[in-house]
Amino acid sequence: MSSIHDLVSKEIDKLPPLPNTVMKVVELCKDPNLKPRDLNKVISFDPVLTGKALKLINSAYYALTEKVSSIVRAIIMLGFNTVKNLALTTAVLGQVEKMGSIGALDMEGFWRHCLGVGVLAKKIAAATGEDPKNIEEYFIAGLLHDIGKIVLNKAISEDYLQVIKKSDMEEKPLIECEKELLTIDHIDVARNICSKWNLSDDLEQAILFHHNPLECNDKSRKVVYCVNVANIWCNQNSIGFSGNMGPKEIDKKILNFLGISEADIYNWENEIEKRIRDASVFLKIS
Amino acid sequence: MKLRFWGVRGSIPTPGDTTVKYGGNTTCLEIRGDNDELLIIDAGTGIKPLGDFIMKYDAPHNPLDIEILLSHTHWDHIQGFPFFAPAYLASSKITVYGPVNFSEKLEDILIGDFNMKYFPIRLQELRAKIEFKELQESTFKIGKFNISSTYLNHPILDLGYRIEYNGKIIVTMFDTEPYRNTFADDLDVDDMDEFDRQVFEEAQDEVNKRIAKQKEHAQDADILIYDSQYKEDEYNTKLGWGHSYIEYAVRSASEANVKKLALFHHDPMRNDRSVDEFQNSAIKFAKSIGFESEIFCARERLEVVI
Ligand SMILES: [Zn+2]
Ligand SMILES: [Zn+2]
Repeated sequence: MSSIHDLVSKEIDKLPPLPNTVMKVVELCKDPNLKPRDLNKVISFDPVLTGKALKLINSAYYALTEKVSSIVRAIIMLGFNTVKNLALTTAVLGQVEKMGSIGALDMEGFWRHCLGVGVLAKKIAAATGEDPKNIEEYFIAGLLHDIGKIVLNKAISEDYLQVIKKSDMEEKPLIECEKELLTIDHIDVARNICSKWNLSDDLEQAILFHHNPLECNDKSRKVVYCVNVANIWCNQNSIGFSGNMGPKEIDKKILNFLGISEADIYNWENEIEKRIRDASVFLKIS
Repeated sequence: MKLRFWGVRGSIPTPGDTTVKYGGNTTCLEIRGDNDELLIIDAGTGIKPLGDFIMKYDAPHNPLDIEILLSHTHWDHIQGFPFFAPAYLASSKITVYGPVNFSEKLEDILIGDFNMKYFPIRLQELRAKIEFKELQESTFKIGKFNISSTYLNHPILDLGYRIEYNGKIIVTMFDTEPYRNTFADDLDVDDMDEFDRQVFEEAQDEVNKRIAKQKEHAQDADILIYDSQYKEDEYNTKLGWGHSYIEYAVRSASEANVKKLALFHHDPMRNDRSVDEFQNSAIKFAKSIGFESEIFCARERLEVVI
């Protein structure tokens, strides 16, 4: 078993540090008084991010007749909020996307799951009246919650395939199968990634406690709960593929805390599907 | 061409005894070609009485073939659609054009939400053959109408239309806000460092380009229908809301050599008296800059021959 631990920690060592720009963009976007000038400064010093954001703006997505050649021009033309959200999502997705590769998980299905959880976590937050300026962080938290699985999938794909099979055969939560077969689970792995990347408290809590939401920090309770509910719902309703074939039920206590019901979520189903389709554009622009 | 206003109000319908003169319905325009060909702009609540009119005036003669151009998909510009009577006739054909954001679909926005929760009507009851066409900036023809569309400045994608027919031109520009350089909001241009100055200048260049494009869109129009929700002093506290003010509307009309200016998208807070005042201040302002074309506040049922 020690070889599994070795392979996994080697894989984590190989992870590039999260670029400053990405964290900076995430950080900046939290500020309601953020100025176009400051956002532009951060983005424009990162040519890769600039390129991606412009590619997206100039894609069929916006259908502009003339090409937009800079972030500055895009802000004047499309408005600051549009460009801000676009930069934020491009920054974060661009980063995680690099980590994916072939393995036991079907990556397309896996990303669909992550997008689904991000989109739904954001929707739940919005429905509970969360301040719009914080909403994007719910999306990112949902998107990143399973980041540990990417490393497992890559480092020990053969063994991980067995884990997924076991979860399927026994209809048992994937995280329990991980512990049984590998002695570590995707939360253990994520803990290492979080400390390496120095993510914000909310993101770290959402990633580390999405299976044990009641144990999280008080300060991050809402984002953890939203991701927890979104994750279970997406698993139960086969939105994408997370490898987890035996999801638990949604905890009534948590729904009560958030002030929503499962029926509410079912009402949003079409919207969620559509939002996943929208968001998936961001994955196609590397 | 003929133009009739069926809804001139922005944001929310505003019925009541203080708005009887200008009307309380949200945006809808009827345009008729010389042979009575019909073109509709926007489907705010004004499209309800227009639909009833069409049922009496057009429906008895021929099966209806109706084209609707949407400026954008904010609620005040589409909320009347479920109550548009011609949509319930099996013999009608309706084509709806409009801009959408991201990978949205116009159909989802307009009738996807035909949900019993909000509407007493089900989608299946809309028996007309309805087609939806997502629109971008482009030039196209509908019958004898030559149309071009240009993006305006609003929080979501929003198109202004330039409609030419037999040498006459109608131009719409709502909802829109003046383009401005947001890179100088809290900085004195003289104190900027090199980087900030370059960015500022690039932004200014883009602002100028956008303004020139808007001017070209409205150039020499026989009538320009312009977003005039605010006065200049009010606008200064509403930056970024996506609406314009009368002084800017007048200046734009003047620069584009427009022959008639209709102030449009009246704020729901405005009663008839204050819309009258708006008209007076717009005319006064026009005089002060030497603009002599006719200026008026659009009002429901007003017909303008062009
Ligand atoms: Zn409006
Ligand atoms: Zn609007």
